[in-house]
Amino acid sequence: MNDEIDRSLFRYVWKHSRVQQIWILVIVALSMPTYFLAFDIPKLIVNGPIQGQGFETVGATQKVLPVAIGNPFGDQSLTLFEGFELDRMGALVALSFAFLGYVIINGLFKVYINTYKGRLGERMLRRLRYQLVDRILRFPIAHYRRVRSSEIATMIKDEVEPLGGFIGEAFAQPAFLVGQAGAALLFIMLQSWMLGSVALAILVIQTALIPRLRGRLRQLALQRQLTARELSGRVSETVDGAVDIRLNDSSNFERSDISTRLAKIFFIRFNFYKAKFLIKFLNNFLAQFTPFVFYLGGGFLAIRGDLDIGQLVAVIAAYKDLPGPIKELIDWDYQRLDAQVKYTQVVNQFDVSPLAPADSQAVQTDQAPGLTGPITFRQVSALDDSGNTLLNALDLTINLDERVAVIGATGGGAEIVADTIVRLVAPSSGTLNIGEAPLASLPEWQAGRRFGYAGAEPFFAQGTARDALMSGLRHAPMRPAPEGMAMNAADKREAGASGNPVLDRQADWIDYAAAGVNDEAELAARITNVLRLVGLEDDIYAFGLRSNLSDTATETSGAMILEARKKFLDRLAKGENASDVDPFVATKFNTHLTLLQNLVFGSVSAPEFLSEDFSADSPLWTILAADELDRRFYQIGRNAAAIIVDLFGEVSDNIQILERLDLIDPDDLSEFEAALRQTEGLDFPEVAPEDRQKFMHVAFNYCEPRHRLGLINDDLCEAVVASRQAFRARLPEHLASAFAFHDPDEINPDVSLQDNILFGRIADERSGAVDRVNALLREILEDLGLSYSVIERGLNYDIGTGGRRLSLSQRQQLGLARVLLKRPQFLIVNRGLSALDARTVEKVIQRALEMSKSSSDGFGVLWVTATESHSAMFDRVLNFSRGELVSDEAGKQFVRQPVPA
Amino acid sequence: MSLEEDALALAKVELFANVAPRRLKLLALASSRVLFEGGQALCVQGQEGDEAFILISGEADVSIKSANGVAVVARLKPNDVVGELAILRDMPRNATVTAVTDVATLRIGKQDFLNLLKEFPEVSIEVMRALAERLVRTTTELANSRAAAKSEN
Repeated sequence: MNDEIDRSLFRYVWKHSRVQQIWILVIVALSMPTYFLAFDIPKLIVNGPIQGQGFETVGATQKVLPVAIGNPFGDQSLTLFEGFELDRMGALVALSFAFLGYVIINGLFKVYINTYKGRLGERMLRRLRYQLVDRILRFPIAHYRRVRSSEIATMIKDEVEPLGGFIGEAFAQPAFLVGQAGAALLFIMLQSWMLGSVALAILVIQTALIPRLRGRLRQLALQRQLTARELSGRVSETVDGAVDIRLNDSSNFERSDISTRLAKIFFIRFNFYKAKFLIKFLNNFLAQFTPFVFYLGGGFLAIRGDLDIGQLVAVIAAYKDLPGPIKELIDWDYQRLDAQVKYTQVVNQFDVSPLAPADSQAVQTDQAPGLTGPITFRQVSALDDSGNTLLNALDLTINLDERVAVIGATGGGAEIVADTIVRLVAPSSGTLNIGEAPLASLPEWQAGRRFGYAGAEPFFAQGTARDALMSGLRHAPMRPAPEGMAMNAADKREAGASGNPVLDRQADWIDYAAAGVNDEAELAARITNVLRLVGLEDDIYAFGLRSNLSDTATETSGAMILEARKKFLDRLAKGENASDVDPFVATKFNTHLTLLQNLVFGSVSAPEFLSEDFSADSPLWTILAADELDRRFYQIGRNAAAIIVDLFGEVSDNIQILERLDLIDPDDLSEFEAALRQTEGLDFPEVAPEDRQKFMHVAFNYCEPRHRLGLINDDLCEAVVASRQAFRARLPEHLASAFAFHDPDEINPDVSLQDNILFGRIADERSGAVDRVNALLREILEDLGLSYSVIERGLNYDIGTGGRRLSLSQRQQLGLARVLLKRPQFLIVNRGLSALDARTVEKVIQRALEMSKSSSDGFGVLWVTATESHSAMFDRVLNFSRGELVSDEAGKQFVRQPVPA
Repeated sequence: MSLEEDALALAKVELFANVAPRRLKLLALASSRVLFEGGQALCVQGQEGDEAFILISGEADVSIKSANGVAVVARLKPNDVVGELAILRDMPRNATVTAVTDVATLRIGKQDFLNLLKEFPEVSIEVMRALAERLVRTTTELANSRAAAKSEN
């Protein structure tokens, strides 16, 4: 495939859709005769059967609808069919039906042509968009720093969109319109050369004048496109930087900036409309000027008898069809210029060189051949964008089986060594070879599979943790998609017709061989292994335990979970720390649950109950009133509020304590103060419903061991427990069906896996209870062979856009795990764990180095870090400072044998 | 184990002698009850820690591990404070505290303690006094052991 995208839109269209464009021209040409004939018929009907020309005598007949080929004016035509011999009424019927027939044929032609054009346009649009994205994937690395993603996205999404419509019509539309206009004009000429000449003269003025006026419109349209694109870039920057903007109180500067841009866009658009409507006026005027001449001049001729009325009617009828095509033709011409401008605008942005050659990213389902070392730097220097030296004349040889620590402060050149090896930074001078060949010539598919690079800010697309891990293994469609999911023949044909690749997105893209495994089960083991290595296993495990049972459909069956629950409770009861968990017992108040949780004693997966915000008309209030719990909850809530208002009312410095308590929002303190005053001394029935509910809300979240305000007594606990069953029965039907009770013999799909197994709450005031419970839980899941299924659930955790639901350290760990999973031949970690504490990093390095020494899938390592103490674990230590290699020595742990000369 | 009781317990702690009762209640609210069983460690020498404990009930031993083995240096009783020094600097615990009986404590988080120091300079002075005492003791011990070392030579 040629790497150039044509600068001329027409050349581009012609190159990719020649055959289709010619075909459509042929169809347009074929549609012309009927189009022309349709004009003639009204005149024949009016002059013939209606006015009676040729039917002057009773019983007279005429031949109608002859078929002839050749010169329609002269005698030389070849008459194929002389026509039907019909009387006046018969001729009227025949001619009218012929008219109808032509209308239908013209209509059908139009349908076919428009559909064909539409498909052609959409295909070309698909091709263009695909080509643009393809080019993005092949941009030189440094270019990514210069482009704004949202602008690029706007270009591909919005700016090329109108081109699709235009491309489909690029050749056919003008041909069709010229044909139409020509036919109409020719017809007028045939009827009256005088009127025809007038129409032609005005036409010439129109076509010459209007495009000239539109020059300004075009210019404005271009500005409109550019400013809109910049606006979209700016808005997305505002979103990305919103946190910083607000932390620095610069939101008003953003407001003013956006407003200034909007003003600019407004004036461009306003001027555009002014020009547009002025031109429209001129255009309409010229179009209507012609009928003015026809009525005056044609009428004059007709009255004098130089023109028969039928002819004049036909001329006027034909003229009706002239301004339309002409106007459209002028519009088309405008669109052409506009499309060309837009096209050039967009294509220029994507005309970056040097693009990575397409074959460097070729689809390879085979294993990538191994790299042959060593990596040799000879006098390699690198500069940043502003010309500062990052790396100065480096001479260095690294074998692909070495384990090297590269030490240096940020900006000292250490990270540049890593970046040049994976070609994120191109050397400005010097030679950088791998084996005998220049490193730059290494195809991307080989480098991408054989080098493993973990940087400080790994990128993850929106998806699950598993998707993030697998993203390093999706090299090629390895195995076809399951039956029924695969691309069908039509999909493939369309892809081909638009120059898109026939790569099935639904295929299984996971390269098991790259991960060194044969199937899903082995992959699972490897994933666990790698997660443990980077220290992320516990986190993922915790995600799994915390995920709601109904969240992910994994194979953990309810029976298994119940068994785990039974085993867990069994072991807990037998152990020394039986009271680490406060179990759910239907007949007992659970002090570790809030009051409301104690009452509900289960979960209601309905929106009314999911949020803690119960509206004034929530069924909850009436249910509570039934057992007079409302009065007691109100009293507890009011007492709690009174204590809190008393403690925090005046002191504003200790707000964070209040926030931690999670009973009353600090912002609502004054509201509660007012409510307390209003309800002072009132009996419950006298209190306004809003105030009642306000205080009851506080009571709902109250939990004695946590808040310790001493507001709950045994009597209340008994009352709450007594109401549990009744509560369930009183729920309205739609809520009752969404309700799951804490039943020892049932799983509850709406709470987490952990809660399902513990079937209780951890008594977290007992020192070490959380750790002990977690350890026991793990042990039991391990015993039951459920460990991986928990991890699997954890891997289904949605990590958010760019992994934002993970901490930076978790993202870095996940990034390293992704790289290790694909078994690189040479691992490069470029400050890839900078967010982790030194002790954890040390452990990770140790385990990674151990893995690198394994016989089957060992690898070389280059680890860039600022922490010198880690260097002891490596075979070789390079120290960088100010872009220079200052020392190159064997690691302290391992003394290298001197190489024999 | 209510807030009132906790606030009263805090009031008995020497360190907080000059703090307003209302502020102690807030401190109690910000803290949480933690229970240790006999034999469990409240903190371990050498490990990081960013919390202090006030003993509410029970007793605990303070022990220090050195080259010569482990020595119990003090026994803590209710109203004693554990670990307030580790909060001031991010340094590992300098002693191990082990519950002798079942121990109930109030755990005070680092930030809450620091906020209290800022608000009540008297508390800071108390902390300084404790530090000074410890310094004097350490210096004396150092001098003694140096003298012992010299006489051995």
